[in-house]
Amino acid sequence: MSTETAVVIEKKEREPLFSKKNRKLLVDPIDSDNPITVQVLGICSALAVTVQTWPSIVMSIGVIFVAAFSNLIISLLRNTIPPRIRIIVQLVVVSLFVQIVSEILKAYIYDIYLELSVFIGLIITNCIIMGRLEAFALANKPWPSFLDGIGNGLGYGAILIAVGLIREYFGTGGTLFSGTPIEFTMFTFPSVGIMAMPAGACIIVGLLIWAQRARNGYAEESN
Amino acid sequence: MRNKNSYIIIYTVALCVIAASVLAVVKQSLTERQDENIAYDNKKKILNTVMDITVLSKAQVDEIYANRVRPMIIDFKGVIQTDLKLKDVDVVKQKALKVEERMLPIYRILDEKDSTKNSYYVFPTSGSGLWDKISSFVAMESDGKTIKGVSFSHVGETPGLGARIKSDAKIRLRYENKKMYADEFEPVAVYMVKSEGGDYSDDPHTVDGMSGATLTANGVNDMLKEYSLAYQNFFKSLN
Repeated sequence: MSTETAVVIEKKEREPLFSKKNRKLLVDPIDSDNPITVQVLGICSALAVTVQTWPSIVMSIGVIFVAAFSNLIISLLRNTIPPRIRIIVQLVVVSLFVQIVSEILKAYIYDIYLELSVFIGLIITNCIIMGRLEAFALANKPWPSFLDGIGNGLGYGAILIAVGLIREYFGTGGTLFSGTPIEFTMFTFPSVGIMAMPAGACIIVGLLIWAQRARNGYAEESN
Repeated sequence: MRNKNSYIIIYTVALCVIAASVLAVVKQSLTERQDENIAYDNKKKILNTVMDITVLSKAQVDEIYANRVRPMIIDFKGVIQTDLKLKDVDVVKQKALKVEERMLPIYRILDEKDSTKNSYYVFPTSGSGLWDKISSFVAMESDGKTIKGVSFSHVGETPGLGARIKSDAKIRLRYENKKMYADEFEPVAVYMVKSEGGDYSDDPHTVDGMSGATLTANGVNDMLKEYSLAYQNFFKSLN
């Protein structure tokens, strides 16, 4: 299903920090190379945590943080990692950052920590993170890898928040951002029960994939 | 070089030591805040069994807790242990002991107007769900038999199924006004049936089940049964 692309940036004398290539790394995963809608990675958590918008936002920030920093660290270590245990090394680095995110949430936003509970731990197994480490960070310099991590995190987050907004709005019957200070309700209507369940997320993600691929003219490679 | 066994071993050990040290520093520096959060969360759970706390701010919760909640420790016979403090008794550790040997925490909730009267008694419970530990606070009316309210928590029950004991307020409300004890304080507890959708409003010891979460319900049933026995003598002594 996934179309992981190992992009290799050629060596150059002092490339500017936000060169065209680097900007592409940041922006592409949000749209044309989106991890969820195009690469079809990280679907599981996209279905699980998107009942409400606020947890979706927190989850997105967590994934952006983990993706960016594990990409950075793996890229820094890429010439020292023994090839035979590279997956284990990646796992150690990823789980280190996931655990840090988990502890920070537990200390600062305990309610969300309880709500996200197992899904924070499951960032470790989020295919986006491992996929980007394998496909990008192992072959590229730290700065592009860092940007790639942020870009893919943003791409994941964009879909997550979109799904969260739609599910919360229809699932609660017109309320958004419930449980936060900016909670508000507009145009109340009877709630749509399926939106509160994972099946609702599946439908929304499916529609988003359809909409985006129709717009970008992307098609799966056929054999 | 990178494929030599000695390199791999040293690399792995170094990586693990560094990762562990970073985690230790993070954990150490955040523990205080985390403990505060856990303590506040417990306050909310306790008050949640006797009143609607969704409208209260953190300051209000703290204030009500300080004014109206009085923890104490009792033993199986219901005798108050004045030399023990709440922090000395860990509900989960006590569960390893026989029911007769346990020290049991109980929270008196004072009457809103007359602070010499106890409106409710709240006790904590601990048990096993399908995947991991579950726990609850149970608030009893001053007659010692009727449940005022409950609040469940869990670590890892299945979202949408067993996790409903916490996420779905309807489950909690099913326990209100049920009887923990029969007429002579026999520890009957409250039994959650298998399957959902029945009407058990006439039966003081039965509540409707959770469809698809029978094993979590069994855990809840076992837990309530066990603790109804543990607190039996205390509630009996109230009358």
